[in-house]
Amino acid sequence: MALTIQDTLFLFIQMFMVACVWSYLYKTDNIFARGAAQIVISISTVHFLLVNINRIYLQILVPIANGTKIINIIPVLCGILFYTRLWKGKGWIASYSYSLSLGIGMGSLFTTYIASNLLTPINRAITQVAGAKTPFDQASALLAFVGTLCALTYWLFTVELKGPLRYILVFGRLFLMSSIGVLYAQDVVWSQSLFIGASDKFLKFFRMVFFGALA
Amino acid sequence: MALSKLGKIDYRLIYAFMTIITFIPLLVPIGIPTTVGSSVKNYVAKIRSYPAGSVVLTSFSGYITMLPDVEPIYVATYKLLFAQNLKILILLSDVDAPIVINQVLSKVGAAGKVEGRDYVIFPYMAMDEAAHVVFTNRIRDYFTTDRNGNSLDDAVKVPMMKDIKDYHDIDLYVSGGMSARYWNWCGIPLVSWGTGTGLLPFVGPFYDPERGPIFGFVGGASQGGELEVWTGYLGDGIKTNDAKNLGIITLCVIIIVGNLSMLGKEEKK
Amino acid sequence: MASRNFIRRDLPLIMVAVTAFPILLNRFIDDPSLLNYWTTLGSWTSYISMIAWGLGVIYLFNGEYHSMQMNRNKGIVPVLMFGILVVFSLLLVALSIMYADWGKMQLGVTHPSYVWWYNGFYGAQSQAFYGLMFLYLMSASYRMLRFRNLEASILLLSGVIYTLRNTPIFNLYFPWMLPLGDWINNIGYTGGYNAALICMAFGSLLVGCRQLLGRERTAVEVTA
Repeated sequence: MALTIQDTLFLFIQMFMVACVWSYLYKTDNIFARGAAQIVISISTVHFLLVNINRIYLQILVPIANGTKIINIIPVLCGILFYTRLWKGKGWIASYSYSLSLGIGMGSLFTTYIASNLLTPINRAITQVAGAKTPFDQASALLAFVGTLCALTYWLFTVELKGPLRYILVFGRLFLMSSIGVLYAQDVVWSQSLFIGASDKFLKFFRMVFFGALA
Repeated sequence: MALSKLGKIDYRLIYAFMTIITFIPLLVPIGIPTTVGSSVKNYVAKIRSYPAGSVVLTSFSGYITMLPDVEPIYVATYKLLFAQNLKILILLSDVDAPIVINQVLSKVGAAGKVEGRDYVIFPYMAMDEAAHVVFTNRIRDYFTTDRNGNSLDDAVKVPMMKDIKDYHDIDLYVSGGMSARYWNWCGIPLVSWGTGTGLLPFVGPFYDPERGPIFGFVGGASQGGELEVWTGYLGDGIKTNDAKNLGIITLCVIIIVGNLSMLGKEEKK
Repeated sequence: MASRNFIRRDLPLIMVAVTAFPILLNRFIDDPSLLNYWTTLGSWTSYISMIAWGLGVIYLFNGEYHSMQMNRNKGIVPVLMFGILVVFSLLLVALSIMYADWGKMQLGVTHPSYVWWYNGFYGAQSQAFYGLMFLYLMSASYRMLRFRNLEASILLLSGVIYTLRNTPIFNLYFPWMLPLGDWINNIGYTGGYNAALICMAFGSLLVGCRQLLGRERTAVEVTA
């Protein structure tokens, strides 16, 4: 596969930027790593801004201009009010924008949150036991149910339990440790994928130079 | 004494060793077969259970940073959806998504599929919980056009949207991690995809292969590789498996060394 | 003074409740006007956040500029860092304008040339930044994952087994690893996480109720 100068330059930039980031491992405060961080910050922030400008025009300003959604003027004004934070003594005006966003978010949250984060876990913990088909599944579901109850006790009741009751907290803590272990493992596996992705981009340039292969 | 010294390895040595271990299989692939887990099988089975013409909404995060972890899932899933001749709605939920969706669809190679007729891509919007609720109730209150600026009511350019008004018209939702929560109340069957940390921590309480609301899930590149094997659409997911294997074997060795050093300390006491 | 306090502190709190209540009512009363209210306002949070994003950009440049001023005595590096920030920001803006679709009034943020720069300087690099976490986790595993007591052992075992479940070679030679890993995820993890989720829901609902009743000022009070 023949590579153009543009492709070669692209691979070199990717390799160089990854190397800059990795230099952080050798010495935290070095100019390459700091420069790389500045580039990431600037690109991500400005790209977000540019994409938002496109959306603001199409989604908000055009419907206002053609009269289909004149009411959009209200969120536009609220958005602009946020900028009053730049003037000392006028920042309180922005609290109206916060209030509107918070009120809308709160109303929606109550609807979705109760259904999803409260009722679903409770419902699932119970129905899993009732719906299990094999004895092993039943025992597993029962274990999860008891674990949920014990962990809930651990979170909600912070009084010190003595005697046999303390085993509820011990059991709850073991379940929480199991959850943290899985979360840790998920992080390991996830970050490994990204590390491999970055390594692949780093090596791609050298593979191209020394072996002339991109695969 | 010798065992306790094992606990004093310089962290930079660990970094260097792990980097070299990752590089080797990327330069010289070994090729180890992959086995497939139940959540991935359920994910595929649920999608395959829908007849041609069913409407599937996909929440496409497309965060460019996370691509190595999630791109294999995107590509294999879209190949599967297109092969099933399902009608696909694509919700771009990250600021990078307008760029990344083009890259993913070019890898999918949906020959013969026409945007507007077989699939519709909504423009990117910063969607929070409230916005998702609006979208579920009235799609046109939230989006008036597709990503190309064509009106959703344009029967010539976007004929697919003719009968799709709200969540009642959607048969399956391929959700991301958090967005599963926003949609749970609608009662639409869900399958979930996403990165290891973006999906797996959230999916547990909602996953039940028989009762739902989440009937199957694929999270992270490892499961992405499983998805590729199970669907037969091989791609980048299984290419990186060798590096994953060697990395995790090294992790096991590191943990064993750490525990041996603890034994050394006890001996010293 | 009283009216000043009312306008600055109390009215925003009242506004939260006034905005939220009709949305809450919609859950219990099937009325089209309530649904209209919700679907209209629901889009606004996205609109407001999009418009307010510019504030973040201003704060970023302001903060970096002041950092440069404060570190003047540290040579050329602070100036260089601020320069990189400005140059790359301007570069993206210039590219988006250069490749803009003026017919549709859209900046060229998906144009191939823009994407080339974006992928080259941002894609690989941001992956490398997050990928560093893998090496840190390796180092942490070496020091932290030990059989110290029952709790630490459970953490170690569940973590290692779930990691091995996601590693193809172990699944190949130890086929029981896959169902065991899934079992730990579905039973061990979910048991504990369910409890956390329910507690978080209780906490959020509590904070939500306090906000609706005007007892929680911190979220809306702006002092600047």
